Amino acid sequence: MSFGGINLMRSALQAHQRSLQIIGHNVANAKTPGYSRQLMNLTAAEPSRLILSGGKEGQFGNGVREAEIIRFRDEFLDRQFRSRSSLAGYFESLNVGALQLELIFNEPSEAGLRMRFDEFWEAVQSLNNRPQDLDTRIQFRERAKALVDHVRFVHKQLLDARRNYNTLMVDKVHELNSAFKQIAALNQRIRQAEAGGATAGDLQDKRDLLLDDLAKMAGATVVRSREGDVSVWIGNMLVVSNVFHAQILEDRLPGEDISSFRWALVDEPTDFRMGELGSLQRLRDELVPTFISHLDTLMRTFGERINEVHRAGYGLDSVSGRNLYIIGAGDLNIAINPLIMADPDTIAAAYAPTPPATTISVGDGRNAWDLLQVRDEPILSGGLVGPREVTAYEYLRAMMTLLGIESQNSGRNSEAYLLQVSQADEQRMSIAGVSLDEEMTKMIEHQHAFNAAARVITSMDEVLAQVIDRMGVVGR
Amino acid sequence: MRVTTSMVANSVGTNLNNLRRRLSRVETQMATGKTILKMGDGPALGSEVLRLNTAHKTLDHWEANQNDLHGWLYSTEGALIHMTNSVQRLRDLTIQGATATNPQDALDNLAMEVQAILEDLLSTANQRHAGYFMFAGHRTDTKPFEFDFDTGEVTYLGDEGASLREVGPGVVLQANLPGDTLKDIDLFNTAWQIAKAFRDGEYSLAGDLLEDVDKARDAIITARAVVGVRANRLEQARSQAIDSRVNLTMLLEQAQGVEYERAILELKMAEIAYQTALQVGARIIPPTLVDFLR
Repeated sequence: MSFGGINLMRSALQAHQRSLQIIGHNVANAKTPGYSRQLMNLTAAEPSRLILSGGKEGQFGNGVREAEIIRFRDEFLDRQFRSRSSLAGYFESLNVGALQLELIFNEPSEAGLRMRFDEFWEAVQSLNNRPQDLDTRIQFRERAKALVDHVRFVHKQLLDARRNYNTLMVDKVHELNSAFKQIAALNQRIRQAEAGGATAGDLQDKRDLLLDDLAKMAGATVVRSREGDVSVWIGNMLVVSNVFHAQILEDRLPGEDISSFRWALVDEPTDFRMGELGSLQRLRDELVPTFISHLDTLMRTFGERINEVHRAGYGLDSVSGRNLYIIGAGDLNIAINPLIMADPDTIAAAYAPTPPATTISVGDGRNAWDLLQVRDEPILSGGLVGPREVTAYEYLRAMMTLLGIESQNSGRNSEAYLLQVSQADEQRMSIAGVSLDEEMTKMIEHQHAFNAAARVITSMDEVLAQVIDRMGVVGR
Repeated sequence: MRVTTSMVANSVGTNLNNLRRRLSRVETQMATGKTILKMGDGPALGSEVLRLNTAHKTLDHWEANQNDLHGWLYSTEGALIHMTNSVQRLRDLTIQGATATNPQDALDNLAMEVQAILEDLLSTANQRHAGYFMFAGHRTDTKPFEFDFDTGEVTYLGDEGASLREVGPGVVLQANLPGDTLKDIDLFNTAWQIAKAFRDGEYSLAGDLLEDVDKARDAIITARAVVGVRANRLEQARSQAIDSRVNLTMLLEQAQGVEYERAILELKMAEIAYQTALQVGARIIPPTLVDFLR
């Protein structure tokens, strides 16, 4: 007779209690992002060898041992998730940007650039029909002004959008820097924690969550070393290795809207191709400037051609050589000539006076007629439309088609990749996620096992009590 | 495959969101009657919509120009008809006075009537349309015909400027009829000479002028024919514009219009899917084993 039985059951009590604790941890983190469920692996204790009373040798069980706490996670699914996530991040944020650009251009609608052009040509026709009337001249002036005002407004909004993309990039870069630092720190802590062979589940979850963020923000690739720490690449730049991490510095000259970023150690400019930063960089450095430059080409060519025709004509004061628009250097620096603004009679609707007359004829709308012909003149070529020569309208439509394709593509791709991301995440969750039903089932099992172990101890206790207190008292 | 609690919740959430988006897309399409609200809804169709909208606007301009031109041609023709009648009367009076049977006081009466016709012709030639002197070419602010009743001399102050209107694709018509056509025929001077001849009793001189009156009449009739041809072409342009309008409206409808039968069907389907998803979601999210444990 010994206390071995009670000791054996004590290990059972402890194992089930701790298992319950882990179940509690799982349940508590059922909604924690990035959490991977854990499980206490139990194993039977090494048996003792005993000679059974029948003379044979027997293996005598010694109860249960807590083998290890395991973390459910599949690295392959993580990789899949992250590669989809960096694409989804790219297209989703590109689509948001494209939608903003669409809103700025606002086509097709009755308030876009196309409408301003339509109204301008309408005013040119009226000027041709009734060149001597003040009201047609005022209408022409206002429509000519509204056209360039609208274009300048669009330009301003495009610049605002570009500044906004820059701000978003700066924020994301701060997040990146902080993530690099945290991942490097976690590398160290995980290495220390796992030195004794343990699995630092919760720390790994934290790190994996940061890696997910990195993938979405900038399309990071992750390599795990045998020691348990991770190295992270963005493009071909190693950003985290062991406990070391890179840093991105922001440079912005005072008065400038746009920042430039560089890697601190190697002093090279950053170049983001994937993830949200990839699309922000594309929007900021490629799409918005492209549309500004197309718009500038359109308005500059149009304005110069209109000026050319306008200069050839004569105002009601029989003076010629005046520009309708003042076009300066720089993007979309186009405004109506203040002279025209101050006096609508200076609008050149007429041809030169026919000698012997020295003044023009007030009913002469021939120059307005010439202005009208610019509408159908192929004045633009190169750049957006290639070598073909197109009218202002055609150029505008080509621009809008380009924008539409950008928006449509990014929209479709973002939908497709978001679906893939959620599928990959679902697969991941099916391994790592906490199922409350499952936890409750395990809870009941462990609870019963605990109760049973306690009952066994009680029974052993009674056996011992019988032996100690009541045995050998006969004839006392 | 394990299915965990949050997986179910996530997928219910994602599905509901997708269905909601589908519903809102159909709803917007039905409310606006358009399938292309931004270029991304269909870049090629969007570009087509832009083109058709401009075409619509251009058609508006053409129709406005047609109305404007119609006014000009109508006024011009009215003036010319009036002139033809006057010249016809002038011719009759000239024939009447060109015989030797008229006493001088009858000739004086004829002279007065010719004088009246001359004044009438002048005022018709100086007529305005919408405040513009019709027969002044581009000098629309200047009374084109100055007549000196003492010398019978006509001065034309207008010019030969043509005022053009675009009334259709490549269809350009002239709105005005510059007065130089009238100037060249010496109508006013002829009438003045006839009146003078009658007053002076030199009726045979008036008879010699009959040829000039006929020339003037022919010239005016030719001018009416010119205006008539323009009116004809204007009518063609008008009916063309009406056809184009129907055509354009149809094309625009094809490019961006909502097919309501289909849209309503789609709306109903989206609605049913959404409601079903809500009900199913509401049923499967809450219960776990926890609900059944004592």
